[in-house]
Amino acid sequence: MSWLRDIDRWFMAEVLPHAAAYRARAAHLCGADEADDLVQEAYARVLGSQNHQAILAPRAFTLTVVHHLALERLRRAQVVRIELLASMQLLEVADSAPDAFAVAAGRSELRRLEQLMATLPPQCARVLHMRKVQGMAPAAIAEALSISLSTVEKHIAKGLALMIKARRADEAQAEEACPVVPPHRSRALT
Amino acid sequence: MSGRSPTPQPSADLIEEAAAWLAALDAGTASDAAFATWRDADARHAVAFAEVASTWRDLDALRLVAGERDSLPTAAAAPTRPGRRHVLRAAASVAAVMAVGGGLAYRGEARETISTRVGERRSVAAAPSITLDVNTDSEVRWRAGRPFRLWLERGEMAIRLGRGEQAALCVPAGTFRLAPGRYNARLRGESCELAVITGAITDAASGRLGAGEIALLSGDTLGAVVPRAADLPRVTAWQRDTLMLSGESLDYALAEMNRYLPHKIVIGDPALSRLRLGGTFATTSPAEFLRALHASFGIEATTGRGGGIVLTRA
Repeated sequence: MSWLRDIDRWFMAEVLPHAAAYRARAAHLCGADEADDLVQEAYARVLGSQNHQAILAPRAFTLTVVHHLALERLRRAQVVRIELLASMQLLEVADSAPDAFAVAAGRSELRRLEQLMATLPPQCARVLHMRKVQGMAPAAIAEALSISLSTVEKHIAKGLALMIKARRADEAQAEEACPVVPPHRSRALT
Repeated sequence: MSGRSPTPQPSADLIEEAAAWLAALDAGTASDAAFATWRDADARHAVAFAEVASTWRDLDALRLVAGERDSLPTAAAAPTRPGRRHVLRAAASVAAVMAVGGGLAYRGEARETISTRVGERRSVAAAPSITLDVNTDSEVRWRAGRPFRLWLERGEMAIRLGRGEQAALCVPAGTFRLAPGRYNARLRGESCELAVITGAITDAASGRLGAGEIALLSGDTLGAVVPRAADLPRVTAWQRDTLMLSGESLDYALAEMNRYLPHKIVIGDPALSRLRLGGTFATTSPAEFLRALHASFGIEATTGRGGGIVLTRA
């Protein structure tokens, strides 16, 4: 994919695989409703950084950004209890980096990808399958299915977007796995 | 394709926008310049595009395992839609994921080859003081000379370089220089996991990985990797025909175990995949592993007609 910059490749390889951890951290700090938004904001900060090569521990770095953004938001919010803010500042930001095994396992969840693909609208699934599993060129798919190239594009775009949203939903579920703050505290935030 | 909208949007819509860009780029109907303008307009555009590109890339893995499908058992959880059955079967072989890019470009000059079948392990003295230990389902090429060059095409290998020996290791991510010492290299999807047991690895940009460190590389520099020290025993466990687990999911454990098994173990009950396991298991036969699953979790293993093993709850 020549349309990716160095920083994009780095971001995809080093930052995105830990999405569930960022979301979990964000949800515990700001509540589940704001978690996605907070993580997206953190991503934008990380991807907007001028010198990503200097970031030695991307996962920990991103978690720290999430943490700081959460603090900023909480300071702006009116209803936060003082002791909560205090406990947040004491929270250990450092995060034991997951081993490469967990990352790789998370990234190669082929079975899950397959399940997601099976839930797509039939034509979306068919086109994505032809493109990614059978490796057919977009133009060849258009010809085989007697549809226009732009329709092929639309199916691919729609299918991809649906799969990504479903993967995000998976991450939201995964956050149960690593509580940082006792649940009753984070509930007080919302 | 018009994506020049600088107004803030919810991230879900940005995903759709980014997916549309990717589909257009893929089909060759979008101009690179127009795309760059859109991406650079807002950091959130770039984020959305990276997320889309990430899933796009992950889908490549489905194609790679599809080639292996004929040797796989039918999963109990197999789909009912005939058009897609083979794909799902292929997905059962998570272990079969291979490197995607760069394969053709970097193997041209290799001279010697060693490869292993599933479940096989081979050692070779590639040069008087260079030993390669090749794990299951792997392929390695090399060319003697200065520097000694090594290509990891598939799977995993351990490298032992005697005193005074250096080597250039070529993996899809890039080329790395190995000082005398012991190393482990394993392809994981498009990435390569490099572990330094003793010695040191350097890249072209003078990034360095020292003894006891492990890095998962997706680019050709060591600058942005997270070195970790705790995993060396696990990384080298295969050389003792064992698999070490400490709290990984059953999905992961099976993916690792299946690397060694011609008849794959598959999960017949999706609820099982979130179980977490610890322990050390022999990779030469699944019996011990299956006994442990039964004793700890009451999981039943049923051997199918094709020899594949399906796990279900008792």
